[in-house]
Amino acid sequence: MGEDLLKTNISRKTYFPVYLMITTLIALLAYVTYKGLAINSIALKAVVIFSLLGIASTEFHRWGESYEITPTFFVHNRGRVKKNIRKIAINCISDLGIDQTVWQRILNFGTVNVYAFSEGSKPIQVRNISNPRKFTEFLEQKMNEIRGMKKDHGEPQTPLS
Amino acid sequence: MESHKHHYHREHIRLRKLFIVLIFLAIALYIAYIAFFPNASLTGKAIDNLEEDGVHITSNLTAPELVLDGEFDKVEIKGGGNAILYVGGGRFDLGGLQADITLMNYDGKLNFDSRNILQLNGKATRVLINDLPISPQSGDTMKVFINENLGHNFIKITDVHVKEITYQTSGLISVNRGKAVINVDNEEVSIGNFVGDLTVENNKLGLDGYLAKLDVAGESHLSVAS
Repeated sequence: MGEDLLKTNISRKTYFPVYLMITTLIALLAYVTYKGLAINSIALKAVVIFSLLGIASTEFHRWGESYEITPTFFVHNRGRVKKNIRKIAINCISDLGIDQTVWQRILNFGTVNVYAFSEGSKPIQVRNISNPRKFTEFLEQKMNEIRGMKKDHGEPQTPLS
Repeated sequence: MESHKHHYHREHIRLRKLFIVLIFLAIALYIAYIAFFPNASLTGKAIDNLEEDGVHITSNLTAPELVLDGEFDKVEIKGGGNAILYVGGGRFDLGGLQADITLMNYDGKLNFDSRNILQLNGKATRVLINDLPISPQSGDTMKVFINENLGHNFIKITDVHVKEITYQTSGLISVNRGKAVINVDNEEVSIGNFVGDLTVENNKLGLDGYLAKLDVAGESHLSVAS
């Protein structure tokens, strides 16, 4: 048996465009300095403030949402000060799905849709997590354990005779 | 209702993303603008008109510490010391000797006081050291900088723009080609938007050009503006 607990939150890969913008601005400043061109203090301050705010706000956003799989529950934690914790019994989960754009597939992150019997067709979204396949497999393993089944990936189902 | 709320939330996120991208573009364009078009500033037009509308001055005042950053047609320096002057890929060890250094179309930082050049870092199209010309090996410009303070006894910068100098000084300022002469005796002088030639020699700052504003704050307050 593997680990008993899996905890994850929004992947930093989600904020790739923000990091790219910060890197571009720093590279632009470095290029201007390398070329011996003048940079005034307003431009320098703007880049520093944009970079710090960019990093701080992405970290703050990440901090606001986390997901946990325990042996019996799938837990969705939301909020920073005001907390909203939603626990769904694993034996109440009916289906799992993964949503990934091309970009997300390249960077290996995406959204896992968790369908519960009680929720109908509206899934609980585990947004922008790193390695969604691993997360799904772990959750599936827990579902199988709870249902008293042994998971055996890749083995074809025995045809009914 | 739920769908409406969801739609509103998505719209809010889209606007926030757009706002961040616009801020990023504004900063990037601003850096590119000030770096590659340093003379195309919003005050550029006003500076160009100074020769027509500004007040002509010549001065002979005690020299302040000056921090200049911009493009200068010609910078002439007579000085030396133990500093090493780097020009393009070359290294010129002044070895305590005096040298005449001329930087043509210098674009960069120049920080000096009455005795030393504290910072010299920029690019020039041509450099002459004791009349020996050095030209860029590739491209139009070459990097010029010093590793430590370079002592000087003469600096002349042709066609310089100084936004503001305010310092305590003594000496003479001649306004409009001698029509008025201000005798400054340890008073605070404030010069705004000066365009012209600047010389520092024997601890004296010589200005010959046009300015937008001159204030002398001493026992009596004198103000000249274009």
